[in-house]
Amino acid sequence: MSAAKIHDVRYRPFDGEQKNSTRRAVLSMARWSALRALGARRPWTAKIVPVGLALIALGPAITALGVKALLGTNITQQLPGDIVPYAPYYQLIGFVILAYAAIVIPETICPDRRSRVLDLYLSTALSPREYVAGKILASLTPLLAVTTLPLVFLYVGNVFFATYPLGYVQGHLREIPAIFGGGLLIALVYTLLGLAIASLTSRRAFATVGFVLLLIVSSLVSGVLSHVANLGPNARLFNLQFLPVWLAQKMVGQTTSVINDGPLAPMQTPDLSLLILMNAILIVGSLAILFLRYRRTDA
Amino acid sequence: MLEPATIEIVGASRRYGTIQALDNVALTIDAPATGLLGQNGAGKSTLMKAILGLVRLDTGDLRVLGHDARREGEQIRRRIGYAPEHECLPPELTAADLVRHLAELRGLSRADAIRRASEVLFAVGLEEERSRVIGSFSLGMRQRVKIAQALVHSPDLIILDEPTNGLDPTQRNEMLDVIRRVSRDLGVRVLISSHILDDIRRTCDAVVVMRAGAVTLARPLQAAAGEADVLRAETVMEAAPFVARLVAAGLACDPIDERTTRVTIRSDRDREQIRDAAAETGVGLLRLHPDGPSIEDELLAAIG
Repeated sequence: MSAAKIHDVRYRPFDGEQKNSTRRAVLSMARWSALRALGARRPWTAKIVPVGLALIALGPAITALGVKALLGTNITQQLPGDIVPYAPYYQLIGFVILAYAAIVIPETICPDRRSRVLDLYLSTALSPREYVAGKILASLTPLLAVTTLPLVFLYVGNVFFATYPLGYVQGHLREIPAIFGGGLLIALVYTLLGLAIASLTSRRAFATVGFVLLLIVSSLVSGVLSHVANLGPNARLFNLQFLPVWLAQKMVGQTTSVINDGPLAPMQTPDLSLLILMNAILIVGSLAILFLRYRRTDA
Repeated sequence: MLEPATIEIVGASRRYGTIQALDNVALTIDAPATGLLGQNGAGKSTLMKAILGLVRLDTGDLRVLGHDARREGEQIRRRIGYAPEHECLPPELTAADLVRHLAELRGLSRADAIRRASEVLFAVGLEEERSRVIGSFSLGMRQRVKIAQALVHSPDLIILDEPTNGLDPTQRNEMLDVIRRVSRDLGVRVLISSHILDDIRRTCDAVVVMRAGAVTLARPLQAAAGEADVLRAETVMEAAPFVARLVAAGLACDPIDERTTRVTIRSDRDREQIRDAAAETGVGLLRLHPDGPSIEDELLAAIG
């Protein structure tokens, strides 16, 4: 009789490949963080805000294309401008972008501080810089979808409804890189600003309130400087609510809308060079806060 | 080629303001499971973080698995698993997702991470609960998740900081069994810190005692085979015939008084000789105990 025994411990040393690269660590951190912030593998309540905001951002594009479909190409071609031009679109969905940055972005880093999971991450070969890079990517990608996809959808719709689609593309070729560039700029500025504020607290609610307060205060300061100190449009450089939006609009190019009222009304904006400078300061300042908050304090 | 010691520390010191967290620590750790024993604030956690390369030493050298902790922290962390003392698990993730996530951060492919997460959760007895969110876990289960994530990349050494802290007696027993299994059955070297002597005795082969940042004792927990052990035999009657019988059996005896004798033994067979000699001579063996302090006495004195 055989004396063989079966030992089922279902554990054996891992002999597969361990790829230890910065790119892999950053991408892995970004993927898990983005999925968590967007509510993946969590109850449906966690998905409402990110999905809802993304759908609201698409609203104006759907409406504009719907009107075109209802009125027909013949009528819309005779209008003096686009129903919703590309540049003012950012203004139109500004509150969605800000709400996204205020509510969803803190979700990527505040829970880690709160549950102190950072100690576990740093006990792997992940460095604080890789952690921060992963979190930036995790926050930037969904916000980039919010700032870019509605305009891409609108552009594709405009091509579809144009009498001569190829002619429309040829006439609006410049807008294609500008839509992506402008969307990236807005997403980058608000991602970094949102993360910088969220890095100062472990509570999501505090991060959200802090972000909103900063925008309100900056808007008030800009208003006071503009009207009381009579500094003109350049006083608006302190208005963080619109700073990246104005630069993105300048990138996309101002076009006339048939509706010159409300959020679609043209605004007097600061000089281009000053806008670039202030946005750069905002990006560098936010990055500095982030990396200071997550620098390795010891080894 | 000779394998490097698990951990080699020479003259390691680290000060935080007025507190000397590590004070000229010199130590070699090479047992399959080593316990780091000491009261709270003795310097155990600082030493563990220094081993992980997360705390920089003011002076001294520290080598872990042959790597210099000062310069090669990243390489060390790739070969080590770490379970911190404090609560550090995200409550909204499932055990499987967390272990998978950490496996991917340690460089495993997605397919390998899924498979390994299942294996290590099984190994720590959490297979049934792997799809439950960690927030619904008991403290004992959360401690097991910490061990599972530390094992997921098949490290050469795992460091467990106070793994039985806050556990009830049943959870504590289960946790100690898991730790013993990790070092004995899974063949992973273990460094465990605790302020409970019994935890170390039940799980470790060697012990390092720390007090006020310094190492006060480092020794194996079992006497080496063939090492002499001195016992003190106390008899009811006069011990002379008993001693004569022991000497005739080849045991070294040193009478202290009429009824007390110091006997040197080298094996369990010698212990049986003492029992037999007492029965044959009818002296009535009153007590037989180690001469001098026991391991417990020695450890307790070192802890302070």
